[in-house]
Amino acid sequence: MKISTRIPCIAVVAMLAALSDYASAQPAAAEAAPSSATGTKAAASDAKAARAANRKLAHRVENALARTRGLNSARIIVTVRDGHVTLSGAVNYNEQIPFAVEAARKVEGVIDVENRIRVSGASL
Amino acid sequence: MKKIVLSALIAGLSPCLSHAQSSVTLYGDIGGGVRWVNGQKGGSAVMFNNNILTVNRFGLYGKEDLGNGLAAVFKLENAFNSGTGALKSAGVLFSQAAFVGLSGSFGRLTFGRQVSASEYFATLVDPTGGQAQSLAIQPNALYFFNYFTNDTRFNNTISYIGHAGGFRFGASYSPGGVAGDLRSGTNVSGTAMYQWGPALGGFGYQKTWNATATQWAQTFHTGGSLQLGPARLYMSYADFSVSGATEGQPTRRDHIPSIGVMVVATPELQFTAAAYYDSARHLANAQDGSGHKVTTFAIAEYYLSKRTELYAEVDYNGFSGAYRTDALNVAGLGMRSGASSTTGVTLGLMTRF
Repeated sequence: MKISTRIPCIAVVAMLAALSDYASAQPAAAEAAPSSATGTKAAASDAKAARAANRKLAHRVENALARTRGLNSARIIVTVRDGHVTLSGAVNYNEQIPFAVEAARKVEGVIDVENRIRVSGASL
Repeated sequence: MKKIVLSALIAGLSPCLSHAQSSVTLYGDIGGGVRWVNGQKGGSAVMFNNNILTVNRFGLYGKEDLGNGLAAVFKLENAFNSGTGALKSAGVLFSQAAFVGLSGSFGRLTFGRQVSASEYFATLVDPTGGQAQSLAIQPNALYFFNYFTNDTRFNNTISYIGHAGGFRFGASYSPGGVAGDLRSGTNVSGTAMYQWGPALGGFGYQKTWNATATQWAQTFHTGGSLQLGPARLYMSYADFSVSGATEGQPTRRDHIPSIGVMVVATPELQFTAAAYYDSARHLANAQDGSGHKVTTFAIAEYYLSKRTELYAEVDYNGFSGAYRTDALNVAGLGMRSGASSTTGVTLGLMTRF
């Protein structure tokens, strides 16, 4: 059993590595935005503030989805960049997708919603 | 997804009914490919991949608005083998779902063949959504299913799912219909879960009796998921037990922790990986039936469009002790009885409609 338990670890580590790559790519893009007049320190704190705002809005969207009737958002992934919301992940059946997009659109501070939700899993 | 909207037709046929909105949606998925697997009777084999990621199916979902937020709903869902065209379950046309019910502000109440409340929860804390074709990547089918009929759906089931804020709860009951015996062939199940921002947590419970009420199978399940950036992490723990069929037989007991992750790396590329560990005592209610089982898999899905994908998958199942001869696993995985592991690699194409 010793050998076999290593396989999941490798798989999970690989996934986490992919994840951290993505996470580090985000601030780089955000930092590029401020003009050269502001110092790197200010740029860094701006990027930090932007990230916090993104996180906060994502949280609000997630809560809105969790409260939407006719939708089960347990497997949806919400990502936000400056008010632009992307919905990915999965729902268990396709009639739920419009509910998710509509609910996310209605959240204050959301500029637009890109729908990348896929259908997978058992019919509930 | 093709929408066949029947509202105009229905309105035309029955002008006396008020403006009831009605729709029927046809949906489904079909896939196929190639699979290589070892540890089989006679060694390794190359075979047709009957869409390992998800059941090949087509379904009809209907909804009719009855006014005041109330709607009548139904679902009929078939499952078939893409390699042969045969029904997945011989003689059962709608093996995945066949139910009718009412949905409204009170929640949803449905009657028919469907998942139990505990399975409802289990699919939400499963990285693949509880719909994979093979035990090779869906080992949890064996402790959320009807142990006595080897069926992942429950017949004759009355199910209720409610929703209040971020809180969700459900209960289901499958009566046995045996006069004078309230236990025979029944299933009772319940679930509750709470979703707060990126986090979901909850539990499920179910107890199933066999047709003669001499044996029961029971699952306690708790788990949750958490979104981190473009990924969702899954974690769950199940406690599965089966009472002895006759006096003096010990109760089978399994402890099953599992973890998984799904990463949406780019809009086209998605990864899923998971690991399940099962530590069992008294398998088949035998005194010496101790054994361990480990299941791991990794899946990469590349989307050519929103509906069509190419996928590659690798899975590993390892067994020790009495698990090496466990009848359900040997049959389900096509394994050589006594084999200590089986590894599979699958390439496939799937489209949804």
